[in-house]
Amino acid sequence: MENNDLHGKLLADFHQFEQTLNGGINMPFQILRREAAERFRALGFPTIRLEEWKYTNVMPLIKHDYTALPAAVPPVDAFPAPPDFIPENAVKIILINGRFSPDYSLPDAMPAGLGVSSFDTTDTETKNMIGKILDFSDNAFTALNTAFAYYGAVLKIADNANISQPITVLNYTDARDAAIFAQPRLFIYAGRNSQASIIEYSATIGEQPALVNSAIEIIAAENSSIRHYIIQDDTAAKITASHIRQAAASLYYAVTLTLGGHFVRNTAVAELAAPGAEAHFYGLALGSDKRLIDNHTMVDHAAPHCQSNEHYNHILDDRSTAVFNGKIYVRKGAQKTNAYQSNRTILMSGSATINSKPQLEIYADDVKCSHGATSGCLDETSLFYLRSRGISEEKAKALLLHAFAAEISNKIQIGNTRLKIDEIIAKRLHDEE
Amino acid sequence: MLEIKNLFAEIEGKNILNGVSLNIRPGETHAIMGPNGSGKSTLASVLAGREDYEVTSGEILFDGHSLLEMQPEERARAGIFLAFQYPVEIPGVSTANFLKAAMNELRKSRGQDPLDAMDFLALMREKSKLVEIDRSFLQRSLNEGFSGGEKKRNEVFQMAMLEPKLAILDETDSGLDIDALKIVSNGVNALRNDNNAFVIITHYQRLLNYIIPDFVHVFYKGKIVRSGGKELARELEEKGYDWLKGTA
Ligand SMILES: Nc1ncnc2c1ncn2[C@@H]1O[C@H](COP(=O)(O)OP(=O)(O)OP(=O)(O)O)[C@@H](O)[C@H]1O
Ligand SMILES: [Mg+2]
Repeated sequence: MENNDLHGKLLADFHQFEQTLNGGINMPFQILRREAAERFRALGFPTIRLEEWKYTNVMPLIKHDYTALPAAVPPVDAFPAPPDFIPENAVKIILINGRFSPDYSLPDAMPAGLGVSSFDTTDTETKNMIGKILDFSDNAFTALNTAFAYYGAVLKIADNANISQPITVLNYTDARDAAIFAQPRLFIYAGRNSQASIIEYSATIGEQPALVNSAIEIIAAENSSIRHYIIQDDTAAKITASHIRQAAASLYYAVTLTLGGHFVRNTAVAELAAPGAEAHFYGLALGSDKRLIDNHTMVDHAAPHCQSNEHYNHILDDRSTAVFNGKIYVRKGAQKTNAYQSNRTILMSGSATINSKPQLEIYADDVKCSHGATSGCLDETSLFYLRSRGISEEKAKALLLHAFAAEISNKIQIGNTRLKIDEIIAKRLHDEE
Repeated sequence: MLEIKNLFAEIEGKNILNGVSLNIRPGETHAIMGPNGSGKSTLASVLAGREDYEVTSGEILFDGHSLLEMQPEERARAGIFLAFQYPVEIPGVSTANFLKAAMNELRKSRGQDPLDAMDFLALMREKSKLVEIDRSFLQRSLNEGFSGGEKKRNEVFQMAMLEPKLAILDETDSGLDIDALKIVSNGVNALRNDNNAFVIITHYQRLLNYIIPDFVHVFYKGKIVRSGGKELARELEEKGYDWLKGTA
């Protein structure tokens, strides 16, 4: 079976890769990587028989002859310049083919309080933290990413630092000469009372099959705030995993905009580990053609007095499919939890599909949890109202869709980025002057 | 300008309009009164092009063109405007942005260039004064969270901006306080001229003290059962509709 071919090949790649690494083999993270490779061996690629992958068939993706071995890294100028929604003054962290490329990344003047390093060169304390929270026990892709995560990037935000320049993580993939299966990895530590905004964006060049399997771990210390903007508009297939562990009174605020890409699967976990922590997940998916966009989120209310708020909007046209699986887990003792979730879908075509599944598991009794999911066509009454003023049906649809999309894109708190993204969305939804 | 000839319409197999005939000439104001459920809003919706209703027979000519073959937006571009009895809330689309889109489509259909931002703002300023609508409303989402009266005022504001040939005001007076009623009526009166016409659907003779109609029609069970001058409204106010029931 082709699936097994790739599975076996990647394991062979892993062993070959291990051979090439000199020293450091007994570092805690190296041991973890070996465990992850073993786990990947045991799990194999997920099939649609697994509940978590029921609507998301990866088989068509993994039939290609990929290599996961870090290929030669082309120079950064082989890739298009960052889009104009990335602020000029942003700190740029560049990963090419999954490898952190410090030479292209580190600006001369790094903002005070921001430390950037790579997995192999970072300090021992950090090395010991890497890989501790991103669980790969039941996710083959996360296991695979962990096995190959040698060239990941580390961002450390010092206690009390307020980083005003957005930190942009650019993931570039070169699929010009061969099929590529990149494994970018990021570790972020946000110190006590620190604040930072992160923009993630990825782009691929070349026509060969590309699969970008990225993973990110964030440890948010007490009273820290992280705003995380994930702009997905890549030609590569994308599988992402993120896990944030939040200490007391920390804030995690994520906006995921899936504007393009034929296959996107995001798995995001927020672990509210201490009182007063707050997580926000906002997501927008624009589906067209035969694209698939899958968002699996999990909010783990593990402590009392925490809040979570989740709001995903989908616009699906043609034969596109979206999957939304929102798990809210309220542990025993997580009293006074406040958890809200909503998922709304506008279906623009009879052949588009949404599979939406809220999953609430509540083991505490003094909590407020609510969720709602709606799907349907654009509201006829609203369309008629707009048309009755002379607006064409097409433009009326575009206005309504744009407004629906903007409910999410307006959550971006970097003014110029919000404006530029809004322009892109307007264009995609044909709402132009 | 508008000729409605023996119009029948139904929804979900239920007859709502049962032979409406009405002629409106430029410069005229017609009031339509009649009991709840008699089909006044249905007539307004059919004129504006709402597709839920099926016209089973009859004909509507607007400036000589058959209205029934036109899309709602084409009717608007031809000069028909409906002030809704229940204006729709549209989250995320500001009144200003929406009107700009509407205005530019109307202009495009007349072969005019889009208004530039400055001219559009100036026009909004002028017309918002006419109906005394606070300009902060224009930046808010269309009708979202507006009070009943604010929504009605917003309808009249839109009418003032778009300057239709034929405006149909469906119970624009309900929900307006006495001051607002005067303001809205003054706004309408200021827009009246020899080339346009108004259809005012109302339950109250009070509005007709401010907007003085040339004709009053009484709607009952889906058709006009009686027409007269403005004194008919006063008669209805006194006697109610019971005395008409034998006539249907
Ligand atoms: N979508 C619909 N489905 C079924 N019946 C409808 C529908 N829309 C309107 N009707 C019916 O058509 C009839 C006429 O309604 P319409 O709204 O035109 O009355 P109206 O004269 O405007 O009343 P009001 O003075 O209360 O505004 C009513 O009996 C109403 O219930
Ligand atoms: Mg009515």
